[in-house]
Amino acid sequence: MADPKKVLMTIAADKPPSLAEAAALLGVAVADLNADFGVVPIDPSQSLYAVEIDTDKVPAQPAGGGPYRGPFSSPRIVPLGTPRSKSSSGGDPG
Amino acid sequence: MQVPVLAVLPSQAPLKEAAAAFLAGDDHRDALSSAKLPSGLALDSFFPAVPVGSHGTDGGPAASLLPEASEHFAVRGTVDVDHISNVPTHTEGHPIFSDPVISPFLTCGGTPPVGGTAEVQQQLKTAALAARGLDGAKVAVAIMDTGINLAHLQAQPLSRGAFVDIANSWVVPGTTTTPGFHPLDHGTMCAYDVLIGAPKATLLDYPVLGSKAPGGALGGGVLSLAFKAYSQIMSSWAVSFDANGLTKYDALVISNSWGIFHPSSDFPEGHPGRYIDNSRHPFNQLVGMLARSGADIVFAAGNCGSPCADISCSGLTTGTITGANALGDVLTLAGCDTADQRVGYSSQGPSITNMFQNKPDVTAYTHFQGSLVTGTNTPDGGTSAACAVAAGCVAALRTKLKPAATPSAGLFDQLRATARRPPGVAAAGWNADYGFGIIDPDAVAQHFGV
Repeated sequence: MADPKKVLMTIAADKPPSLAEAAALLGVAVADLNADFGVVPIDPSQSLYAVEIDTDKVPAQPAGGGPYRGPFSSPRIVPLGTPRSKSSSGGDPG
Repeated sequence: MQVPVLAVLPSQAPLKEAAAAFLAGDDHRDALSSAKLPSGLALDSFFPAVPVGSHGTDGGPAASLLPEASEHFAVRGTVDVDHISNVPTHTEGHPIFSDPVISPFLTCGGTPPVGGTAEVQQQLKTAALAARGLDGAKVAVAIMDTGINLAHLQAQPLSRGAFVDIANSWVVPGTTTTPGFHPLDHGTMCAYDVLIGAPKATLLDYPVLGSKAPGGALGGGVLSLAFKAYSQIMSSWAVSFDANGLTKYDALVISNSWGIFHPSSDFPEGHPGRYIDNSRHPFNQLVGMLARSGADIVFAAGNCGSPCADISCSGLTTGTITGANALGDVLTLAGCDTADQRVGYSSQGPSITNMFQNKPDVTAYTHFQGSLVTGTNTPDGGTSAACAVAAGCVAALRTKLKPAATPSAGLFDQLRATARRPPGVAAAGWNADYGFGIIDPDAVAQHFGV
């Protein structure tokens, strides 16, 4: 499982939404969204934005679709330096 | 470069003693180390002296292969030549034979460095690139990694002139480390490796893998941070057009020496929000958008190749090129050592199902002594180094190939088309180990006439 605490949601909005507007579109409290992440444009030409939300606050997808999609995973990513094997414990920068 | 060879030497007492000791199960190295060797041959004392009888004649009694009777012995060592094609046929009259890399001797995680920066420069023909004026000047290279330590770079001869554009770098929200002042780690290795091909490129520090980043831990981060960083780049490069932003550069290359080791770190298979096999994941969409906006995006293939996969791969060695590393818009790098042999951990294609299948695209050099980030005699390794080396080559080419005239897709097509066929690969075209072959930036420059 990815980072158990937060996932991504995408929002469709005619203009770049504020964090509060994004929360309203999702039907969640502003505090449920990651303010440091903010509202991140993916493709403004398609009015598509992303927010990060606590996993346990992900709204249900409304019947017939809605202004948002998700959740999308935010898995852990790692450097791909010199590999570790069972017989070596590292020496890898990173 | 140091090329491994087998040399056949006439009998002498130390060789007899070493061969006998080996056959008896004893340590042969002391005896072997006192043997008289021809100049130019550096002995590998771990390899025993092997009796070969009356070498050069047809057959002979089996007894002639006993240590005390053998007229000649084979020993293993290395010769120092500027290119593998210049290995001598003899040394002081004694014949030299090739000792090509075979699978048990594949370069793996625990293998010492194979060559150094000079060998990588030679293989990439960086002198020829420099003579063409392809040095990365006015090209920005974003290092998506653990952060850059500029002081270390400037202490190395190759990267003495390293420069980080602090204003156009990124400070992770909630952190305070100034770009270029991060702890010495993987990101500095990657920055150094970029500068091998593009010594005048400007570095942009994007510490998305830093341990102090939100959600980060020792040697890693979370995808949403990379997402945020890419959005920042997208805004500066393709949306805001601020005169002091990224558009002041002629080109932008993004080097990504990171990935995911195992599907267990993602949502379950079939989940519509999964990352690793879903081109509609928001991050993958954003990477595609940025690539189509003129940025050159380079990714490492991964370190889950057979037979030397990283332990974190948990034994999985198929379908391990995943996520953004497997997008058709990016250039995905396998790794080889400076003898052109694939390193045994480099992830092999095809990619995970549902993503662009013919990955890796090409191969670049890794597992050499380069940045000295972890001290001497430890390699700049993994497909991380290969990715960064290739990003430097792309940056060098971008010195004279502007994105408006030569979009990323066209440049990457030529990098694939001109890649050198690796040793032992008979057929042209894509293969699972090397992609289309070993990167040859000078051939790309020739093609475009720059």
